[in-house]
Amino acid sequence: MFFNIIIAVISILLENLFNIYLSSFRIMTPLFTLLSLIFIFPYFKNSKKEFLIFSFFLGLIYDLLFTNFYILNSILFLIISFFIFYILKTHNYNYFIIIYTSLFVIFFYNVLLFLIFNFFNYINYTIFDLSYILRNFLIGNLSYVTILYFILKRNYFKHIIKR
Amino acid sequence: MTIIVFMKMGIYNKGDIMKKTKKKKYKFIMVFLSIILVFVLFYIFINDNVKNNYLTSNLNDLTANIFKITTISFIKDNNNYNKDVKKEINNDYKKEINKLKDTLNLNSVNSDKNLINATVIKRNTNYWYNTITIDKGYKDNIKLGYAVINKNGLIGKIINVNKNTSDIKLLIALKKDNYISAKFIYDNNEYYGLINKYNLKKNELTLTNVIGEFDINKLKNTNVVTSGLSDSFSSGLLIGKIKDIKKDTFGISNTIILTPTVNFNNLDIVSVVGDK
Repeated sequence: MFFNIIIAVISILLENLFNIYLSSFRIMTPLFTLLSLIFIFPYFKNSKKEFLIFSFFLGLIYDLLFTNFYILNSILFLIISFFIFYILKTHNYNYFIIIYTSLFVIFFYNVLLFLIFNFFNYINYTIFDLSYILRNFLIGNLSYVTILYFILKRNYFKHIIKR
Repeated sequence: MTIIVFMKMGIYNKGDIMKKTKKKKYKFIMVFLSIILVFVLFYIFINDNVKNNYLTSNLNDLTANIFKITTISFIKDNNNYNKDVKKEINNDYKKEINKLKDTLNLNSVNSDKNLINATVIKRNTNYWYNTITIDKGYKDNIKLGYAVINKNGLIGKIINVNKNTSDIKLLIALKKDNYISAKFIYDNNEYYGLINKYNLKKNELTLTNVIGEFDINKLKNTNVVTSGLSDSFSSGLLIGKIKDIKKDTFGISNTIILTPTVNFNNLDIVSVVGDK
């Protein structure tokens, strides 16, 4: 559990730093907190309920720190973690499946926000804006996932996955 | 039908089947109620008009203060222990002093308005949340709907006021019910239009329904300011500079493309335009 909290905290801090110092680089728009769920999954491999609860609270923290929409990200994190659980549970935990899951998470999160915000008339984005947003989410986040995967691969995953 | 078949086959007894159908019913009702609850919560937390309630107000104040303490103070306090980094801090302070000086200039220009200077303490560069939080609230006389500017121009308006903090919705988060009425001066005449679109990719605002004949070479780089015709913003707040002009589909009115003068990715110190 300690490692999961560390991963989550590092992701939140990095996302915050990116928001503060790299806000002009739009192609580096971060979504690290949500993507950290992919690396937190192995610990909860055998307990879906705990994984969902953890993601709900991570979403709540994300809402408290970065947005003013309390509960929105908690629910989105919960829904996405549900899919993460089933993707990673049914596949081998390797680099390619992590990239595939990350792409799915980035796409699904943004599409959900697009639908929700348009439904509640909060923004006026078109489908072209959505594609532009999606493109800007890719580089930074996939790089983060890759780096984190190779850092954690040797020390963390080996004994967690084997459990 | 299936139930009867199962019963005849002796797979289930009547009690089991009743229990299972009851469970299914409860599950269905629970899912249905959860979806409704989620929608209601989304409506409360996303809608600007319902957002400002006791719970969100206190949460906003609390989290903004935590954020302020954990990010700003943490970085600055730790730097005090490092001599090399001290130089960096001095540079930061110098930059901050220059920014404040700019803001003071701005204050003297807008002398007819009461400007409340504030620091941005919470922001998310993610495209979806076009809001920032500042460290001033209703105890500093900030009210709902006040315009927020910086030295470069209009940033947005206050959508949520708490005791110590306020939320600002950025100008680029345009939606159907908060289009901005704007004007510009061309050949000593004032022309009015409605800003109703933001191009995310090109960082351009669109001013529509402008009637008149214009020469683009003369019009280029003309300042577009708020008209003061709507309740949202007082007159004369700089929005952007004209970049291009197009005739609309019917050739009756013009659509003007303008670039916002404010860099929305780099907001540190802002001023809230209050009543005098």
